[in-house]
Amino acid sequence: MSISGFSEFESNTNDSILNLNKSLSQNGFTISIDKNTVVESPIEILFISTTETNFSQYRNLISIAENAEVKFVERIQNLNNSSSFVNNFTRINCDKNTKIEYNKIQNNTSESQLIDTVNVYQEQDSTCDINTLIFGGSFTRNNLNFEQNGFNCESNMNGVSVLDNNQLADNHTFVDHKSANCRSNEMYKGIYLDNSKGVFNGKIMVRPDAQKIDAFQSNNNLLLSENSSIDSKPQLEIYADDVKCSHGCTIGQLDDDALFYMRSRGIGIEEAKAVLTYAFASEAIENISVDQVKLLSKKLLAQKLNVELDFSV
Amino acid sequence: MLKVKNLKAGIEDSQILKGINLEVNAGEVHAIMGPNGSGKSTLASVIAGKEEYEVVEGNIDFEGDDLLELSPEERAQKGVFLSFQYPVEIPGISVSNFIKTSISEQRKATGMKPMTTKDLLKMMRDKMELLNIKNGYLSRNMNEGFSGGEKKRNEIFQMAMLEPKLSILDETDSGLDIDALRIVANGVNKLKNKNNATIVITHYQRLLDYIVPDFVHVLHNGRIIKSGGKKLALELEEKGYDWITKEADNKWDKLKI
Repeated sequence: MSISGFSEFESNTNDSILNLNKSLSQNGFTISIDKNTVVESPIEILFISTTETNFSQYRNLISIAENAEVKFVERIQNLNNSSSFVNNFTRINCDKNTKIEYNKIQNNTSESQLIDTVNVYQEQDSTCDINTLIFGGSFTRNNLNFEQNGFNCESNMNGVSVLDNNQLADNHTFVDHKSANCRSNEMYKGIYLDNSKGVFNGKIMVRPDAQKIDAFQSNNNLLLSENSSIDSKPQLEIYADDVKCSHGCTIGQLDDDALFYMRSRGIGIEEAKAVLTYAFASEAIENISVDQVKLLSKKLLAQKLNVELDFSV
Repeated sequence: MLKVKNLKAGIEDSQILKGINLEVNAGEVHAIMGPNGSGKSTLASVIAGKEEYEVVEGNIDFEGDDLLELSPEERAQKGVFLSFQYPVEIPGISVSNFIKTSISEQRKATGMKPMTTKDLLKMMRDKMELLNIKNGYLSRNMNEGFSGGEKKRNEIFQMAMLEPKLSILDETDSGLDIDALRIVANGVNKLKNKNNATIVITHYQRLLDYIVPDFVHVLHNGRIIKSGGKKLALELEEKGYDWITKEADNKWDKLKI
């Protein structure tokens, strides 16, 4: 395994934000995992900014060679209360039969803006999971783009967004099924308080030769205030004829019967709401395999809902 | 312990309870019987504090507190427990997590120290044994995918863990086969002592073979029309409800004139 600093690499794109990243970036990391290596402990990556009016472009490259396995935990955090803009781009190359889990924890201050793009290129028999956990930031945009270039690839995405005040989180996902016998699975849970707003745009493309694709996408949202909102847009573009693709979207509030049930057991109304909200998010949180990330998510959720509860039993 | 006086309550425009009077003392078991739609479950819900119901008259005193002034959680913290006729499924919360939260919130509210995880687990194991509950149950999601019998047993398990002063069992026997009924009834009997009280709401006399009541009340059209000892339940089983409901209807009809 090798870990080093910024390295230049190509990204063919017309995207203005990525072009901005390419032309200005001087920081970032380069990580290569050798073949047949299983990295036992997760690798933690921290992007901390402390300067006033931070304007940063990070450019990162991860290459995982055949039969390797690795997990990451990435945190992007602005410690200064002044305004901040981070444009982060990560390219992940997954060689044959690799397994990778990438956990992103985005808990930014209310003046921080983040655009985070991850492009994943998968070869045969590889599995890549990306979990996006958003707990704060005035504007947070995640672009996850998966390209499946070999048989039997699997791409999994889990997302939990918990927003309050005027925060906005936007999750854009794109899975390009270019090869047959592959799978993709997306589960995004959004919890919106106050005046917060969420966006989910999930696109699944199935190319003409990509038969026997199994793609699933779900986006469930809890609007916990009158003024919060969510725009949800699933997009399926299918050119093969023997595939299974489905998507579902729900928008709702907490169940009154369940709330009364909990209150009748002595649990206060705010705590009962928090427990039900946690229950709503837990399906996505439980898919994370790194225990510390799970614990931290539960803690941040309780903090965000303003209750002193320990969800970890 | 519980004093219900001239309780009148309803939902939206329809009045369901039309003047209930009921007194329950520590150590007693009361059975409330009555035909469908007589107001049994409404009475249970009003005591527990379900907000859809509007109380228009009367009061409920629980050990000196005016229950109607308290929120559902405060009533529970004072020791009122309702075993639901239709327990709610809560996916994403395990039974152990639910009970742990419930116990710690109740203890917090009453100024008690939190229970250690070790003590809590031991208590859970003891109570599971009492109710013949198998291992693996604690990590299942709350009521999710439970059979009718499992849901009711789960209600009694919570009752065993929370040790309430007043337990109201709302149709706990419905949907139970005879073995499950016996286990649930045994559990309730073992939890009974001279300091707590139980109100059993049921259609059928069957449950009362196992949980023997001190008093039986017949509810009809929002009023308790007859009260008696455990023999009343047997009489009802034999003759049905008609003979007393007709008598009561006649009486109220006359009063209207």
